Amino acid sequence: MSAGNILVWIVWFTAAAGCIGSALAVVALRNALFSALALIGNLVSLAVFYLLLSAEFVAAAQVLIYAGAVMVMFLFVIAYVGWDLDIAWTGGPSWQTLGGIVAAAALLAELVVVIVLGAANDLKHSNKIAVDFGDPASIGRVFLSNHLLAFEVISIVLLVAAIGGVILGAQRRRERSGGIR
Amino acid sequence: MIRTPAIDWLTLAPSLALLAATIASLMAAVLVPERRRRNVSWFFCLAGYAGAFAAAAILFDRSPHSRGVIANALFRDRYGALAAMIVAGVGLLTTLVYYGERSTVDRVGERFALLASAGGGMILFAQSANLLTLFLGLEWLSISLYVLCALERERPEAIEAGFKYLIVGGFSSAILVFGAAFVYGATGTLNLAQIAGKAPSGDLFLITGLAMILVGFAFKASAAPFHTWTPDVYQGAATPVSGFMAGATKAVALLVALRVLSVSFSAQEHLWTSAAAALAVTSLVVGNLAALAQRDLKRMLAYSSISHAGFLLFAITAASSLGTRALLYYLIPYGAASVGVFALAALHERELGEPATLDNLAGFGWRRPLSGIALWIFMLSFAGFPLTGGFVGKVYLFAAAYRSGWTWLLIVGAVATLVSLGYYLAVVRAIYMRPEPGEKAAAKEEPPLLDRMLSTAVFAAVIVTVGSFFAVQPLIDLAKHAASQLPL
Repeated sequence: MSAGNILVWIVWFTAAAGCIGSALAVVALRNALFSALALIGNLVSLAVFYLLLSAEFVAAAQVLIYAGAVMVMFLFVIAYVGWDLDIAWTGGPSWQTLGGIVAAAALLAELVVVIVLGAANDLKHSNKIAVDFGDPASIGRVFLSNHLLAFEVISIVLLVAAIGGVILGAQRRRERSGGIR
Repeated sequence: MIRTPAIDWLTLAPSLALLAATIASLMAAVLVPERRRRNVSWFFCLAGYAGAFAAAAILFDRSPHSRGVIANALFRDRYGALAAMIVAGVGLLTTLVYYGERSTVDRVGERFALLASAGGGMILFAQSANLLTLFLGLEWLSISLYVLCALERERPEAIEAGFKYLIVGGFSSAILVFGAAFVYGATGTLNLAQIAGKAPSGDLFLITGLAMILVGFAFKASAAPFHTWTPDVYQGAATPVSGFMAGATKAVALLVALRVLSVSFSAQEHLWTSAAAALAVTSLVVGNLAALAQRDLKRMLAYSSISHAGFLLFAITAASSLGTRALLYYLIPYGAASVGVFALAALHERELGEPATLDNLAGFGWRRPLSGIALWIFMLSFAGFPLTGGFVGKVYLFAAAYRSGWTWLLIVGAVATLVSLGYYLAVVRAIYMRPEPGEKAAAKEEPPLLDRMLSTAVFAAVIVTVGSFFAVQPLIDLAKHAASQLPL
């Protein structure tokens, strides 16, 4: 086993341990704020997996969008609602618990089936993909060729959303300061 | 070296005109002094819609053959161009009506920016040739409308409308995008024209995707049973915005649905025609029965728009060239009458300072004779009386359904039309035949003309509604040219 390979294994195990540990922490911690922070750890260790799979773009998107933007929103909501509530969570309705267990079991079964089929080379579609599949360069090329218009229109959609956010948010600020015209 | 696709600017021109109008009105809302702000923003919005209409007309003229442009992101064809003209026409009238709408918050500039932006998104949506641009166009128009609905933050109903529309709209967009993902998974392409024939016609993924996309469109077109948001949103949003949603959003949702179904899912025609028939019947039943029970004018009109979604779905059920023609034609008087009737509701609200109901409409026809006649004409057009475009449209839709062998649908439609007379004529009865409550002396003299813009819009809407009856042939020819570019 070469030194590089050993390094990959070390990174992989660290990420895997971080992933499982932080996932358990998300569920186990009682304070919602700490749960959210643990979720960031989970998302970042997933990003490491994507890097190991040489899906650099997905890894970057994972960190920027999920660990970055989405988590900031989570933290804002928690801060807004109040994170230091000392009310112990007594568990949701039993159907929620049951549904959660069923969904998790289904996901596990699905993963096991895919791993077994993949190991036996029995998947319907080949699991061989082109080397440059999903790397930043090829994604960039698609953005500027086949999906040029979609790429540009996304900026318009985000612009409209930002305008909307500012309009509605600014109104609220003015109401607070009491200066309604 | 990346080879970027050639840009067909003429195809983009209608939405670009509205995008420019959005930016210009928004800048005006910041840069122009407060007393001129409304006029300047309003003017840019109006100019944007006029420009979009002109650009769409030129596009219509210069696109005798349908083709995909900008790496097959958009269709350059007459179908999309005519849809753009309908949107721009409805938007033009709405801009006129929206001018005089009173506001408790100082947002007169931004409202026109958002109105123009919604139109731009609708046009892109109507022209889209792959599932990606389709979704982005849908989001562009939807986000603009969510904010427009919630703009009047002072009124709790407006917040409720905006919030409800956001949640339901987001949900329906998610369903549509999920469906698109299924379709992509089954066929490996996002291109509408290439989806057909890529997978076996009974492919489970493809059919699941088709069903979910259909549900997404039904939400946007407010067809029952996906209509539950409509009454609250139409009631809570600013009245001109409700008119715009009834006239334009529904139109593009149905037009794009017909395009996607006929272009991409021709092999599954037996499935989606049956689904459209089921949606049509549910919409007709729910819309008409619920409308009978309403006292609030805007709520009643919302249910009437649900029942109209049912009638318009006849065209999708028919899945024929005649049906496409009927849909394109009917949307012209329907769009005009929708804006017109909501404009009159807005006029009444502005006079009274409270929502228009069938009770407080009493005496409206005597107090404002011309507006009374206009309201009458719009109601008759909705009901499908001769001398209005609604009559011809309905006849065409019924003929299309009959030609394709949906005789039982015709019977449902005829019964629904009879029931609809109950509430359309109730409005006419209310404005003429009810005694005015508490006979005020001030109300007896003709009140001053409050809003010249609104009157112009109502007048134009009447011209289109009645004119489309007399100018059937040229309009049908337009619709025929557009319809011939769909593979039906």
